[in-house]
Amino acid sequence: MKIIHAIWFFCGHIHLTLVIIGLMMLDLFAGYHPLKHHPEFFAPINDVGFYKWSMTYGVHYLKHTFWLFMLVGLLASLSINTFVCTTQRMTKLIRHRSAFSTRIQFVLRLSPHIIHYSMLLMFLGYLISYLCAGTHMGKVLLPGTSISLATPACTITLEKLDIDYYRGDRIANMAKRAINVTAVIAIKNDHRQKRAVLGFNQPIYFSPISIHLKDFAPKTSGGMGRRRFIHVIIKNDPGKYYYFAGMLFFTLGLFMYLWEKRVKNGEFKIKQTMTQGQGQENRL
Amino acid sequence: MSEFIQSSFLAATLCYITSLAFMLRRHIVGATFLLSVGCFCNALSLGVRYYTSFPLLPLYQGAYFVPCILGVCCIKPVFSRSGHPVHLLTISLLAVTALFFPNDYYLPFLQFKTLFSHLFFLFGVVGKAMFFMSGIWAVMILIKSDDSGNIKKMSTTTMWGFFFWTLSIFSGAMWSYLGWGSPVIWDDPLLSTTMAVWLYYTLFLHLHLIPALYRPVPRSVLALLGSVTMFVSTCVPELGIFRCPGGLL
Repeated sequence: MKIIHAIWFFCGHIHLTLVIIGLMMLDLFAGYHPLKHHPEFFAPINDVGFYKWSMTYGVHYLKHTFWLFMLVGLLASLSINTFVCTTQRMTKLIRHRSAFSTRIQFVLRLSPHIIHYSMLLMFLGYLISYLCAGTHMGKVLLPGTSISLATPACTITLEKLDIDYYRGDRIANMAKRAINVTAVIAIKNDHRQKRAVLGFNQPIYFSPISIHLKDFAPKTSGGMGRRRFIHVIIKNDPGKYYYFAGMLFFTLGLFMYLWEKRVKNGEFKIKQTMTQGQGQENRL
Repeated sequence: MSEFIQSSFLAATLCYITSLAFMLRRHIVGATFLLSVGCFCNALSLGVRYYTSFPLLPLYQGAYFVPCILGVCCIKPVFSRSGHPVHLLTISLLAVTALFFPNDYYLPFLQFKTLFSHLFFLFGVVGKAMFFMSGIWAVMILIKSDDSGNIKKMSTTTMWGFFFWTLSIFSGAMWSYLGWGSPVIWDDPLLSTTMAVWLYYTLFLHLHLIPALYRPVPRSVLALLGSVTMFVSTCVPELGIFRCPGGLL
């Protein structure tokens, strides 16, 4: 029992956090050059997921990718450390909640723990995403044509493609270049069908997949009649709910943390003013 | 338009440098006035830059935004005499760096046409300015030794820097998801250094748990080191090659 207790406390020790984060920083700085000079080794992570990538690119170019494997290991260590550390502190805080004069003070004091648990939720989301997400790459659609997916079974049709070209002169060097792309897409499977507009940063959701516009043509107006098409990324990412929920709660925790600091600063200023006032009274 | 953008930024840089000279001569009112004029010219240059590319995001503009935000943050300390020439020296050096190493001639992509790309950029530059500010307060603590007012300012600016840096990362993740279907795009080298800086400041905010490091001098040294690390790892890669500004030749 004593050993388990010792391991539990070792796992949550702040000095361990210091070492892990220090190593992660060094590792990330080491990753800058491989990412800058060989982005082609890392870009496929988005397409095939981390597991398949590690078995192919990752192992084959180990000299350039070792830092990413180390980073994953360090992230796992940081997750354990954060979970243990924040659980220890939160249980202590809950045990002594009667020491807080108001409930809001107690809730605000929980803000660092909300941030820590949110971070873990984000990591969980990334883990699910990189292990389970499926991507259909290289899907090109011409107006009026369809593509069929096997998993999940559905048919995607590009019904209409509108490309607006810039005509003004306010935006520098953009004359005759595309400024807006909208594609009307119809998706259907055995149970339902949907018609929606796809654009840049405007994906279409058809549970469980999302369709994102990656590229299109022609990018400039004029010239000979060139073929019009769009290139889409079709993604099935079950981790997205977790990492976005994590981000949302992390931001909420940050706001609470800043609010708590403001309240503390206010109290500190009041105390300081009162002490100064008392000093003046004493002198008088 | 391009000439106006460059000339107004050149004017801003000259104002910052002159303001530093006034500050060294202990002419506080003059220094504050020139700093304000510098910020105005800088803001004008940034406004026109944004106007000529909106709704797309102008690329590699961080080097021009940071001196302006830092300048606005420094007006109050400089005017209230709690400022130091280090404030104006940092702003001037950043402005000179942006002036001589421009990298703003790339056309933006259509993927930049979203609120999240703008938030990613704007939160990021505010975060950078806050981290520089924290480094400046750290220098002042190291020069003047223990000063509780400056220590508090250093902690507060670091905290706000971390807040904006985090929001920038989250906005970037949101943008990345909407544009490419993944919260992380694995072909940008700045991804790793941005995360390294975030981790550095995460550690900095946990220093109160390590009594040996939670003293004014070690904290100041670490805050200063953070600013330098942030500059070298996230600002320098965004700079272009050396170019003499057109107006100077």
